[in-house]
Amino acid sequence: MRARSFLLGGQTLALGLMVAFLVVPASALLLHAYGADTLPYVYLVVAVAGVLVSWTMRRAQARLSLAALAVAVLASYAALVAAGYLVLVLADADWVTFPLVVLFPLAIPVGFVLVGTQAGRLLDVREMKEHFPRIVGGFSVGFAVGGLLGAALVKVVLGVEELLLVDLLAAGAFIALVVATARRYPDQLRTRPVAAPPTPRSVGSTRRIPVSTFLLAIFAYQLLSAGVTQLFDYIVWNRAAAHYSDAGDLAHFQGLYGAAINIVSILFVVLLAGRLLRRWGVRLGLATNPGIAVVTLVVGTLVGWSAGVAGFTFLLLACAQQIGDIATTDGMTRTAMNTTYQALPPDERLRAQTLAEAAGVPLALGLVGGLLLLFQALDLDVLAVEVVTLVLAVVWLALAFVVYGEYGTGLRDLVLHRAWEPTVLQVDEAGLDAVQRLLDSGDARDIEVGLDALAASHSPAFAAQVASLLAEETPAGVRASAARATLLTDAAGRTEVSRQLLEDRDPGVRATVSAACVDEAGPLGVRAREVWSSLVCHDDPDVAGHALRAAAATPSPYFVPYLVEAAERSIPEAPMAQALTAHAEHLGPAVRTVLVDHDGSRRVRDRLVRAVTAAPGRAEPVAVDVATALHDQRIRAARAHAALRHLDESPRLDPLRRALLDDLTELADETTALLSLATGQRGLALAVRALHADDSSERALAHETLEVTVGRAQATWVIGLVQPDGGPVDGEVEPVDDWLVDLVHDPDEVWQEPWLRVCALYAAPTVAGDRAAELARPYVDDPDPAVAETARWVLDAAPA
Amino acid sequence: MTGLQLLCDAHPVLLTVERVALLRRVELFSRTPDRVLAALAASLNEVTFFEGDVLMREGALEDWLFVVVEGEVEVTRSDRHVTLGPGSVVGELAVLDPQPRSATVTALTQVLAFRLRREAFQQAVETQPEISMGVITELVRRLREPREIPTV
Repeated sequence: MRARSFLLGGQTLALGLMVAFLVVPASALLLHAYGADTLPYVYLVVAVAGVLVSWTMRRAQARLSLAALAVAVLASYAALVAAGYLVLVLADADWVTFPLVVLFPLAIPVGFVLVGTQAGRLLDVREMKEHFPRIVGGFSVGFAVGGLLGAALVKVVLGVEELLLVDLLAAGAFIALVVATARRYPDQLRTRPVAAPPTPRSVGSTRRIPVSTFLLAIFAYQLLSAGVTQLFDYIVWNRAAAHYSDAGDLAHFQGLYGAAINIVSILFVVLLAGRLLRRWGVRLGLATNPGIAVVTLVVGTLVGWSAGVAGFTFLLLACAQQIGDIATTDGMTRTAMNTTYQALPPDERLRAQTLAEAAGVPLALGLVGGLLLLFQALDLDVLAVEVVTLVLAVVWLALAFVVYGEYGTGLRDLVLHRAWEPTVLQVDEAGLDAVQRLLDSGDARDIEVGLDALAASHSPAFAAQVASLLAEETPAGVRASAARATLLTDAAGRTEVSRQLLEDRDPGVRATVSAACVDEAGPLGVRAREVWSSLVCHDDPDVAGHALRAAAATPSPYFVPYLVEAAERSIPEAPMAQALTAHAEHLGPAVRTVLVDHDGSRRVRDRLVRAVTAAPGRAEPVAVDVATALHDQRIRAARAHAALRHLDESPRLDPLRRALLDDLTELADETTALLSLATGQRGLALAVRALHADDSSERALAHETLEVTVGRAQATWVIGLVQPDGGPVDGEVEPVDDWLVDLVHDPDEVWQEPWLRVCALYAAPTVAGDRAAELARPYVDDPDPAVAETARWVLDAAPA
Repeated sequence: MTGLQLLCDAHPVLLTVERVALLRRVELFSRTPDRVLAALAASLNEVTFFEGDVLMREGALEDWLFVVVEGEVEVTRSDRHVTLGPGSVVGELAVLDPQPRSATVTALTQVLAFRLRREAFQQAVETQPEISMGVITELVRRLREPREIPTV
């Protein structure tokens, strides 16, 4: 981590030096030659140039490795500066300062894209939050040092133009650091992008980024961030120019103010930013900058409104606004945005970041330039700029929450995405022979696959095939598959065929047809519901299994209460699990009843938890507060960990130790199910599993996903709950006086598990000595035979 | 003295909790929570064999498996002999797929074993996914290491 921070921090330091040694000579020469009125035109040119740079970089990304791209961009920058210097010195052409000033606002976002994308490949999402603020801090240090050094060099040694030569040295240092970083991490930085296979959309066009709400929100956030920053800049220089009429006074103010901005920025980055981001996460990282902007703009607007904008107070407030903005941009916004990009698929990150930053920032400057020209035309003063900036900052703050919400969704999509989604088997003419072999195989499972494939193929042979398979002599399982296939395709005759098949002698056929028709209106639906409900309630588990398998194949909310009831019975697990998983979307209330209200048997609880955690996709969240829902699980986990701490290596304590560890594992599953319920993210089990992934970036992503899903305040103990081997969950849960009494008698009904009582009783003579008999006596006639047997054993073993 | 011996010596008839502790040491059930194994433990028979006794004979049609709790047994097939100790399972193929025994198993010492019948085992596998997973995992392991443990 140290080497990566050092190399990336070195790059931002070089970037800071580079832009400082560009802006000081270029802006001084431009303002000297053409005055401040040219600045809005600079902004407009920056907008056009920025879009061109972004487009060029995106095209280059498809062909170059990240390291090669960075070197190419920086070498181009150095070539432009060198050419500008030569034109300036040899031809004495002042106009060249205009493109050099345009280069300044382009260089900052492009430089941060280059550093940020390298960081995205070298740091995981949690390392990013912790270390990126300090990496960004290098820029402030470089800028401050460059500014002070530039001023000193101009006075003592060099002419203004010669500062551009120092700028070339800084650019060379940046390139050297990029090369050194790439040599150290070749897999991440020197790998060339793999060409995407041609798709109908991509053929004949450049690779496009899928436009999503997330990407649009990021782009708009970035646009407003850059726009507000530029407006702050304008307000300060407008007021400073008005306040200091003497050029020497203005230069003195410029030097002190520039130093103040960078010192505050460095202090904020070093002392606060990392801690704030670690403690409060990306949401604060995105909201701090616009939040502070809104607060300072409200104060500035009120002061400007009441006391006027001509006084020194307004100038001070304008400076405070910009200092707050620059410090939080460097310390929070850049890191939060870089972290946010991690929620995009890896192959989209660089392109999205280039689009949002390298194009968004210049575009914002262009818009600001246009706006300022409009204000000049309308003869509006700086207070109008202040009010408009306040409005933009409010929108920017609202966008911060939109981006954060989309970030959570993006993370979950990334972590919960399944590598393979089942799809309907498509059969062409050539595949029909293979399907025919499946249908002729005699194996019910092969025939079912064959029928599914045939139904999808719309083959004219299908109807005849199915009719022959529905014949009386066909094996039972095959007839059920044939019945399902008939209903899938025979739309016209469906009602009549269904009526007949509902009375079929084969329960598998009746189950298939009735399950497919339970939502039908009229007599067919009534009969279908009668048939299916009688089958699922049948005493024979095999018959009930047919009904469950059929319900799994054609899910309907109608089945849910029956499924929950069936989960209580001793029915084969496979069809039960299939049916429950297929209806996971509707199981929320039932899961809440068994896990939160504790109304339901162990078997039902286990089956529902397994179904909810196994099902992928999203669902409407059930109105349940995570902290309330997990209250009992939290207490149970804390008490289990407390009890485990009292158990030594004695063999007689082994069963209790294992039972407590098993309980913690079940708690982890229950917690995952409840989280799925509360958040509507049913695939959260994948994120929980990823907490144990070998790949550290995958672990960090899973951690971040859970943190974003449940909120930072609850994330620590929730993540402790879903990791049974993760150690104690929470120090806030009140400890019990006697952990053994708690396990045996369960006075608070926390455990509700006879097996834990058995193990606690078995451990009692070892742990409690003579007190064991007293603990065991109430249970000698317990209805649970294992409890009663163990209690009697304790009494038999006790001294007379 | 091992924990296993301590448990077995202490009680002529083992408690459910002790049977579960022994079952958990069997690879086939090592992934199954104890509370789930408790139901299975209730359907076990404790059987004692003396040195030289035959636990099962090649070709016999039987529908139970043995879990060796204490002592050693020898599994004899035409191609090899293997000695197995506490925690081993013999005869598991008969409860998964009833066929004549593929090997003879003889007690090399006094042996305490659990006998588990096919019906109880099948019910447990059908209703307890944890047991099914344990069985699948163990069978896969044996497929990967076919020469290590002979199945009977």
